[in-house]
Amino acid sequence: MQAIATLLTNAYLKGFKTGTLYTGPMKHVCVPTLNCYSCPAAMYSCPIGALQVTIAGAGGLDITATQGLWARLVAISTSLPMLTIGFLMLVGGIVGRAACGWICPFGWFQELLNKIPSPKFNGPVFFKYAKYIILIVFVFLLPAFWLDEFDGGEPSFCKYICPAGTLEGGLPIALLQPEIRSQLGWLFTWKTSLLALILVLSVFFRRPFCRWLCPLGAFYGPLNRVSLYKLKIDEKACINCGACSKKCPVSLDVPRELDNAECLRCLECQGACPINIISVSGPGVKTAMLSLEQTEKIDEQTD
Amino acid sequence: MNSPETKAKTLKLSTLLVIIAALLLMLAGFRNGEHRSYFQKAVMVCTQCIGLG
Repeated sequence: MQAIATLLTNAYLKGFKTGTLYTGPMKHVCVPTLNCYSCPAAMYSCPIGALQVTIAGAGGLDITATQGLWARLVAISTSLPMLTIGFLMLVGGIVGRAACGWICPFGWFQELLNKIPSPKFNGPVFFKYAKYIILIVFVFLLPAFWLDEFDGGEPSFCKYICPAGTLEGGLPIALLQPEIRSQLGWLFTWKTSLLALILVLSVFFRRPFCRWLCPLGAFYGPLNRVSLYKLKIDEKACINCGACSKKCPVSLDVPRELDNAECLRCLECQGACPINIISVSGPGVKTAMLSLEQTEKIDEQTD
Repeated sequence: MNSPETKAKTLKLSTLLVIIAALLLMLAGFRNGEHRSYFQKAVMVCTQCIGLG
């Protein structure tokens, strides 16, 4: 599924040959995952990039009206990225963080790396808060208030952090365009080092970027609690075997944390449950919960 | 303590509010031509994204 999604969102394969970007009308549309629009194969826009661009005023904001903090605040309020925020709220409001679990190319890449045989670790729990700081500081505040000499902001997350951008955009463009390659400096070195670190960590930790750093995950996460489609568990039938929690890529205690902001809605817990009591609930989905007789039978077998 | 039914109703209401707010924001953003602003950015190589600065 993730491979298909990666191919569909990056279907302009000709770009890898020519080193040029797709410039067709589909780039008016964002995908619900991190997908760098400077990737030569990218067909759609990146929502985190779009948020920053709109806030920074790179397109549309009248930069002559931004002299001084108050004028800047007024300018920002009139050019809030409503389309992108609305789009992300809609996706999160319907399926929560499922886009992270099912269609994110960079999440998929981390999953593939984690299949390399090696010792596996969970990492400190408090690292998860870093992504909220990144969302607020690098996606909203810095693009709005850290202005360049032309009084415009810049996409700080893309510039200083985004490893997906380095992998999908930076490295291919550097390889395909010699004139750009010759101009690369410390920033490229920093971003490539950060990407390398995250890829190495992915071998030992499951989805370290998604769990600790991704601002899109920080946006979707809180919407897990209110999303239209949710995970449900038949708590009475649960035999507490721990199979679901062991399989969870973000190390949740699944029976007790189904609506947790960290849940990627990947449904691996559902597949791991030996008695099939985890299900998706929502409009049009039939919940196949166990009957009382089935529950009693399981109790007898497990006592 | 809220009963499970009350909790479920509150949840459904908050889901509905999130979805309605999302649709309204999208409509407003679309009317502002926001999609055009990031289209302009998306069709050119983003020097910041690729690490050029």
